[in-house]
Amino acid sequence: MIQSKVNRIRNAVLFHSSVVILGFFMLYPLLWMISNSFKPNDDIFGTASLIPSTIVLDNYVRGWNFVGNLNFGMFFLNSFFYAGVSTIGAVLSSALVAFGFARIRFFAKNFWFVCMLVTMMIPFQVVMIPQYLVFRSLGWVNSYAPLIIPMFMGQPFFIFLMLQFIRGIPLELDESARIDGCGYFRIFAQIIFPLITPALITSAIFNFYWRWDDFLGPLLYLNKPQMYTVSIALRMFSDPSSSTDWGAIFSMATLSLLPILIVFIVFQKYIVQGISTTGIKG
Amino acid sequence: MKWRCPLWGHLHINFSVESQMRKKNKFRAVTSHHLAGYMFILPWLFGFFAFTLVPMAASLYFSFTDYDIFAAPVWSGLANFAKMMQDEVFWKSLSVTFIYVFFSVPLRLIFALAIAMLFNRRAKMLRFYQTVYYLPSILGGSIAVAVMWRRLFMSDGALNAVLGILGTPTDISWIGNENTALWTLIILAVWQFGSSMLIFLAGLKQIPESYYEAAEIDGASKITQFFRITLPHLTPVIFFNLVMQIINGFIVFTQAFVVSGGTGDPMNSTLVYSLYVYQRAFKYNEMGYGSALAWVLVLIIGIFTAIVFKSSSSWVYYESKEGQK
Amino acid sequence: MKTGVKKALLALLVLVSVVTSLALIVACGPPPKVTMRVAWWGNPTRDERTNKVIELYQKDFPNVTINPEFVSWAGYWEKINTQAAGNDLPDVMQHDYAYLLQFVSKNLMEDLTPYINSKKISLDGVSETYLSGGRVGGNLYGISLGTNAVCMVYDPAILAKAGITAPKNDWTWDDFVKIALEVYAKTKIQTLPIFYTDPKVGFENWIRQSGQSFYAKDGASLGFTDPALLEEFFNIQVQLLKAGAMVKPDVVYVNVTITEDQFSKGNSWVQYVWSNQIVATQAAAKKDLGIVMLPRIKNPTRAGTYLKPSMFFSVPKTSANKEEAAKFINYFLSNPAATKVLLAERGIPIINSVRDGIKTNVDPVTQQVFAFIDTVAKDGNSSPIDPPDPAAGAAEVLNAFRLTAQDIMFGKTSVKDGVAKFMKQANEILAKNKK
Repeated sequence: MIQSKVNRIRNAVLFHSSVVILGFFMLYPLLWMISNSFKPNDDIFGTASLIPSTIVLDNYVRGWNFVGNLNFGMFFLNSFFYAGVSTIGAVLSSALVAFGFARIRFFAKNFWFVCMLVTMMIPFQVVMIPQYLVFRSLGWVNSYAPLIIPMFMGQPFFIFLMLQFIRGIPLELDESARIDGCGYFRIFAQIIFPLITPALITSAIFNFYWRWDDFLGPLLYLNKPQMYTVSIALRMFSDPSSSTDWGAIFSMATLSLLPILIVFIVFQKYIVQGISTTGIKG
Repeated sequence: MKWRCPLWGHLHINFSVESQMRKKNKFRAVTSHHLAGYMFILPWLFGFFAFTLVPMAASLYFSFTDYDIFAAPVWSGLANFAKMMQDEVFWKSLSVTFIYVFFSVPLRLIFALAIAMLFNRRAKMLRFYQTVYYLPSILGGSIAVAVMWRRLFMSDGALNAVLGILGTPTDISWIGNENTALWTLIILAVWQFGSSMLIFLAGLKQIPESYYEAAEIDGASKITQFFRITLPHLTPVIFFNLVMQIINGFIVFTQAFVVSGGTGDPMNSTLVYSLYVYQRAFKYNEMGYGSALAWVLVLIIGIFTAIVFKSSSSWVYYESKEGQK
Repeated sequence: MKTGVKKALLALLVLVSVVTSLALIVACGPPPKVTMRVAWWGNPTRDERTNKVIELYQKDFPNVTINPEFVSWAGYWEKINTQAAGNDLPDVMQHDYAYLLQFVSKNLMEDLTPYINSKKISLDGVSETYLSGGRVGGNLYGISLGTNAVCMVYDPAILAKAGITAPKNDWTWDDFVKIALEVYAKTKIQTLPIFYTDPKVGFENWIRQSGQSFYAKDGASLGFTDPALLEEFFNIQVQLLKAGAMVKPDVVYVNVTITEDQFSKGNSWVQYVWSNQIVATQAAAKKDLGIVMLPRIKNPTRAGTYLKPSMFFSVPKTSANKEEAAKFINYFLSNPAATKVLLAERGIPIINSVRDGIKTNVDPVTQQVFAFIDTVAKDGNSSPIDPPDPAAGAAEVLNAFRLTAQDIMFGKTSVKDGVAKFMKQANEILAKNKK
């Protein structure tokens, strides 16, 4: 009795200590960046120490106030808008498409699936100009339209991810629903959709921070600085021929991590919870 | 029962056939199947035709032309592809990319799976740990990552400091040495395994508790449970991660760009393929040649992906297949 | 009768006045509303000041609305190129010497000569040396926003500690090698390779001193055939490397910012920069710096240094507001309130009166830069700028030069072989420009 309790404690200590040590190595670069955001500019490249010898807050003030009447509050709102709306669109539309590929047999399904895979394989540099011309002909340049609207057309990465999750769900569920008279859409909405919650949440988290970090899209399609996202603004601190305000960069980069972190923490519990398929094997 | 698509004989995808359903609603099923299918994939189909197909077709066209972005493209046939064969930088960047994929993909997946398994338990602080291990991947290719990576791997950086403490002092500039520079990028990719880990976690959580409970009752050991329940149910997700990591590994750009400043230094040892495409297309204004390079990459990735797909029938287990037995 | 005529005359007078006034109003009227886009790359300081000038301009000319579009250097050219492909270029854009010829040869830029001639853009008091960088085929496509020149900055404290007298502008490359070796012997402080991020800039100075240029006039080959000078350029660096006096290549060829480089860290006594980088270099090094021109080769025919525009303002041909664009550029260059705001952030201003006007407003380091440019502008210290880089192949040649320098410094190839390979490669690349 006591031996197993000792074992349990030993295992717990082993577990926690190894996770923490490895975790420290994982986090070190991040901690360095955060600690730098509180150091005066002169100290930043001076020491490798994680503890600032003097703590200053003016990096945050300078970074936040950016230039003229533009401040990071604006950029954060813009990024939130872009990342948030596109995530809703991406997750919902991808789920729909994934269900179609997974559960329905239709003509040329394999062909379209392969097309979808191929679209993920092409480096963006060679399509960005023709794509710009397409959006220009629609009159969408200098707006968020080219960035957000395509998000509502399904994202291949998430479609494929959800596809794999849906194929892990037994068909008997679909069948019993069908016997009860459900059509495809009800099967999707009431049975499959709730059961792939981990995949939905994961996709939401991924899409949020991919859009949050997206640089090239906003760069090409947003002309008014008031519409810029955080990703563009962060890069505007550095110019090869002038002094870089590292304190401002690190402070805003640290701040920029917070929304993504919050989104992750909020949604995390839905992944941890897990799901259960009731009433099948019982 | 496997359904072989006659158009793509060499590539078959195991979509399960709902044979029992069809027997029940045969007539209605025949017409409504196809229509329903297309209705569901309509969002993607629409976006594909509206925003993706034309740019992709355009870039395919450019690969057969001389195109400097400003003037109209001039047809040049297979000239770009012939040039590629003689281009030693092409071969160099191809080998750099292969090495990158060959090492970073398995390492990332192994770490991600191992840590996900480690975290697949009830433990205090679990959510905190998960967050910590996930954080590196959300830094992506930001400017902060670039600076940090240099700090770590320069001759006076943190890694050498640690090695000094451990008793093996060195002043190798890992990031400036052509034999090790690519490895700093590989380590960067592995460091950011958090996203793959998340997907594995989600996959692990989707395995119903009831299976484990039933196994416990039957007296199965934890190891048996892992190999008979966990692993088979994880294979769809492993398959997904493998395919996506291979694709993303081949087209990696941002991390290499920010760490090397877009140069591929030292001596092109970090010139991953997408970086070379970027160099040709935008720095040298050879969009035609750049497009040709890009489509060769698509071909290569396609071949690898097809191989993985073909192999999947032998090792990927889909719960929904049970229905046909 | 008399009152009737009077009344009629009065009425006629009123009528004529009204009609004339109306005509005048219609003809001269309130100025038409103009909306313009002005694009530049920069940093927070430049962005702040440029936006202020735009505000001033809009206050002085309330009928004009300017939409500023500014981003970082990283991404600027991707954006501009994409806009060019879509005929979407702004009305005024900041341009760079490296890309100007490309844009001009594709017929994308407006010739500004008529606006100079009509005094819409007033360039009184600007010497031609400051303008020639923006000329292609005699026409003026870009107006320099600041003057630049190559130089070396050094830490006088290190030299003093080693007991070496500071270099003068007429020093030679032999002097350079001697100083480098002595500094290393006495203080163990090393030297960085010559212009290691863009070695062509360093060598260009050498080849110009010999009376030739890096590119041939027609841009279809290199401007020199004898490899001797290029070999010498690399030989002295390899010599320093072998003596241990040069920073090791695996430390040098890491892409770092000014704050992180070996000069700021105090590992090199010298750094090679364009004059508009001096302020940032000094800020990163946190020491007083000395500025000196690049050394002379043996038997130079002329000075190798030239005055280069740090950046231009140009007007794309597709702009619908060229008149207003020209007016804005003129305001930017010479309006006293504007120049007081901009100071010398983009480089030393080209208009003499503007330069003199702000000399006392700038910080001491910038004053040093002013003095340096004044010296370079003196007769005999500089020679005319070469024509712009060829439209096709220049980027590839630059990269080949860079890689050759790395190959040589890493010891992967001998100087002779590396130089021969580079020259062959470069000529092959440039041959495409043959007409």
